[in-house]
Amino acid sequence: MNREPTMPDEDVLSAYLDGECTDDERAWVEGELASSPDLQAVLAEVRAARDAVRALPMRDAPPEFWARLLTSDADLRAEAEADADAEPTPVTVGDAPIDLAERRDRRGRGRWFAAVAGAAAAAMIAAVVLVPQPTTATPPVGALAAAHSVRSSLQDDAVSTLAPLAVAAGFRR
Amino acid sequence: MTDGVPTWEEVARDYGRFMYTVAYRLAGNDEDAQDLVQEALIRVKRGLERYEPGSLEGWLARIVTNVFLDEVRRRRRRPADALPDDPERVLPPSPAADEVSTRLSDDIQAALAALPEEFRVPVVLCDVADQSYEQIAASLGVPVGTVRSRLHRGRRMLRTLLSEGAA
Repeated sequence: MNREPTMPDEDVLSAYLDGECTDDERAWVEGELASSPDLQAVLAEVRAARDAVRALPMRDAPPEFWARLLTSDADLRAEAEADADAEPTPVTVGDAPIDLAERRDRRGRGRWFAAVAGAAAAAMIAAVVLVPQPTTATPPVGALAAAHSVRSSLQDDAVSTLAPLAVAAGFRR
Repeated sequence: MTDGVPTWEEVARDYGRFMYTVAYRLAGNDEDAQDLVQEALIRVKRGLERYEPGSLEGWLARIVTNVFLDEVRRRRRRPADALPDDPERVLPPSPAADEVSTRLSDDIQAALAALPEEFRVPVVLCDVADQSYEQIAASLGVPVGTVRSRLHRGRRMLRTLLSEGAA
């Protein structure tokens, strides 16, 4: 009994772009692309989204963040020492309960053992040792231009791409 | 670095920007990204002695993602802590030199932040952190097929959001 070959799900197109599909799936995609304008259009959309995200530049934290982090590290050492005196509890990466809001509050109030002199010294050390060293600005002009080009070509209006996307987001559902 | 295991300071210095970029693309704003990276580095410090040399970036991306997902779950349990829908939180003024490039990046970031977490996370892990489907599946504890499906749907939603934003 002959069976029609099963058509893969559409998500095979992303896997195809990422080199994550099987040989059979790759052969199917390439065969279909040659004759299916619909599939070509979907592939172009997925590729445009993928390239746009990949073209995003690295994001830098402000230098004071790294300096503050080292100060926090001094706090952590003090906490670790206090914990060692209390009860040794093994901690596993990935399952530690956290409360970032609470941690932020604590950071805002300051810690009694973070003496001013110690914090200043830590910040100076951080500035020299820990803070990722500034480098010559090298914006990914080529990648950004490519992403811009992709979007412009899809919208037929280069100027409209300058309008910001008015969507607020963050941790939310 | 001993036996291929970096020190905490080396992780912070050499991979701090990578971790921050992943955190920012997941959280959508600098304040939360800083909190995520701080918490992630605490977990790195606690977990370094158990780290087995391999894909350090994969390990770090996994930790940042776990911190992010923990925070998402915590805020869902306590809706009062939900972040306000304030565009300034999502699109902070950036000092980048090229205003057009910055605005384009902000548009893409805003679209990314508008994706539900289940789609945003695989997109960020694949296209920002450069993780394989298998690594993403391991990080999220889901089958590779689920990663593939969510990644594809996330990209299609992202493309739609970008089109709507520019219309």
